[in-house]
Amino acid sequence: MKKYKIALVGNPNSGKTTLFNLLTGSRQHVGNWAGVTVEKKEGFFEYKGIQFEVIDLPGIYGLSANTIEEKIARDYIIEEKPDLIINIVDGTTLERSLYLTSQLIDSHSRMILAINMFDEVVDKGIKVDIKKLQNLLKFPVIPIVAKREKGIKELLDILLNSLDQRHEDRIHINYGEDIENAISEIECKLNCYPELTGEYFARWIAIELLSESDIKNILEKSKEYCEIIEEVNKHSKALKDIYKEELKEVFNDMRLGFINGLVKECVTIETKFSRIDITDFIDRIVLNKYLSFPIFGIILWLTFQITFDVGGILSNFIENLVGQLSNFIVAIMPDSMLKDLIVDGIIGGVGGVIVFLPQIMLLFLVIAFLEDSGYMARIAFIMDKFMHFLGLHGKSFISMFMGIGCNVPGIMAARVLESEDDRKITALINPFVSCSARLPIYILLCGMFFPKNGGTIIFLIYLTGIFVSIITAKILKTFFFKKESLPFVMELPPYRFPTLKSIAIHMWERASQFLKKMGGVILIGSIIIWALGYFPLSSHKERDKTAQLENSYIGKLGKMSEPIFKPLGFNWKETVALITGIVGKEVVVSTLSVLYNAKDDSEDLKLKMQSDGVDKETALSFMIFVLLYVPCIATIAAILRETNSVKWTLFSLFYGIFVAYIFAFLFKHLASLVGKFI
Amino acid sequence: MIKKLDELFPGEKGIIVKISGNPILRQRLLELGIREGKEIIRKIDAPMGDPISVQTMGTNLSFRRHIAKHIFVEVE
Repeated sequence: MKKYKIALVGNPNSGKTTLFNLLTGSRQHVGNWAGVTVEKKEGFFEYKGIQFEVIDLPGIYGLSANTIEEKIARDYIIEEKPDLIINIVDGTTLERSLYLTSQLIDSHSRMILAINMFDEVVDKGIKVDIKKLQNLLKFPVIPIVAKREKGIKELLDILLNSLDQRHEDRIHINYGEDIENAISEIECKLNCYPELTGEYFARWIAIELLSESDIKNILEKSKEYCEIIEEVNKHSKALKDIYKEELKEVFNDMRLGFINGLVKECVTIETKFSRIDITDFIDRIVLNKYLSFPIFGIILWLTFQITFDVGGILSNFIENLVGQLSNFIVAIMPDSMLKDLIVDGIIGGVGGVIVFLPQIMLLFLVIAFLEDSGYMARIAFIMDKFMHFLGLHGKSFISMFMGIGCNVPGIMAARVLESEDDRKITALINPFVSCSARLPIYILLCGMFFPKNGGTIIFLIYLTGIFVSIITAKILKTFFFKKESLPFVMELPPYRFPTLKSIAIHMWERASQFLKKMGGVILIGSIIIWALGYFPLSSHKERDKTAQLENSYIGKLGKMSEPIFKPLGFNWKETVALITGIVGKEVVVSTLSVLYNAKDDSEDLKLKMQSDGVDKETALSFMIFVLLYVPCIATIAAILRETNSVKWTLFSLFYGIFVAYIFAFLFKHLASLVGKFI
Repeated sequence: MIKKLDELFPGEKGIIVKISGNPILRQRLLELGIREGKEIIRKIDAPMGDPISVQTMGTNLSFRRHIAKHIFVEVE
């Protein structure tokens, strides 16, 4: 049976995703577009016995391929050739949105224009003559209110209907005789290669070529590439002589003229009484010079509270469940290697990460609310100047702030950024923000070695982390992500109260991604670390954990690398604790106690560490090292997922170790210098 | 009188007469709704003075000051 391919195209905030969720329900798949970190959403639905595959293309304002999202959308339409495009527009910004429509018209695809938020349009006293618009555009136009599920059935009926109809009487934007002649001649050349242009796209490709859009990646596949380009160059030179300006501008002028015509014919603003605009009113408060930061502070604090306090309660609950599961297995299984693998390796490793799930779900609940309500854009607005100093975008702040709780949600929060480079930098600097799992290590060591000024030391460590992340952002921006970022122009969408359903879907998407995508990496990582600490099996039967770990591969690795860490003052025991700490920073403390064979109080551990040559300076350099070196497996998995690149993940690991080494070394020797003077 | 957008005071409005700058910037502005011949109102600035915000074609946009210098506005 034939399955129709439908693409949803529209501006950000136009309600595209709401419509997508309405159509597909839970039958959707979220992933990434090949090679980039732009989200790709596909889904399926059936209507009146016909199968549909829907793709939610990234939110874009145009198809000029200036941003990665625009390029993805355009290339998808040309390469995948969807059977129909639903162009969804926010009715309150109809004229603005019609620019994208005008570019879609050039593609000659079958189209439906869905004017969303039509209730607000009516409220604002804007009258849109749907019939007339439909006649002028020569394709169906339908008002909908996606949020209230209004007009969806009608949309689907129109969809079926237009798929049945022949697609011949299509609208053209007339670009004037000279350009039209050039287009048809290039079209002729292109039409010789139907595998390239499909049924309709020759005209569009011709226009893209003439307006010098970056479209070569598609054309390069054809053998006749040079021939086509030659033809294009000939025409564009002649046309530039006529118009005396860039052809891109000429096309744009014509498109804007076309849109002006449409709006003049079909849109009238009836009432002009001045109502208080809710958005204006809220903005006057939350963007107020003096109130904006306090309000933002309160919202951040609430976000943090909800995520980590409420989430913490749920985490404890899950932790208990995991504990019970492992006790249960300990009780029913006979002693064997398999049992150790399941209890210590799998449940210990994966269980330790699963406990983050409630926090991640809650974080995304809050983020979804902030985004859908329109406040997220205001955060970027008020924080932009500060973050710009780091070469980043205002929205990066959220990610860094969340990192203080846990780097995993912090890194996942990077996806609210629009630019791919910014997303990568934001994800890569996050591990240096000290997360809450590292705090117990500082508390323990400071309690032991700096009983008087532990608080100051911990504060210093946090500051060091933020300092390193700022420096790293600068380095990455200067040397690796040099590409001039797109001019910072951002929409401040009107405040809208998000629906529970959309927020719930948002949250569930993230949580299931966390489970699916990270689960594998974390499982494998945990098993590897477990095996390194478990093998080779010790010959003596009694289960002496200290001896076991000392003789294991990790122990050997620790002893082998002891000379490397000598300058930092670490002996093999600290080194082993660092390696096991990769599973989760919580493990560092317990490994130290096992290796030093300490009784259950820190005084004993302190004495044993001191007798082993660990002094104040070493403790400090150890804490700095813990702060900066390889993050935990879950964080590594999050970096891998968000940068979508093994290269950058490896970079993050090695860079972290490098920086950790340098800073730990500096701190140790500076501290002993300072110590001499005080 | 023609002013640059960043010279407008908050609440002042005018008609966009010219947009300068490189083609990518101009394309981006056009896509988001900064177009010649349209009315634009300068709105509130970010608390640290940059970026600024404007209202045009039924939507609020924000951009940094250096971009505002490229937008020329006819005011009464």
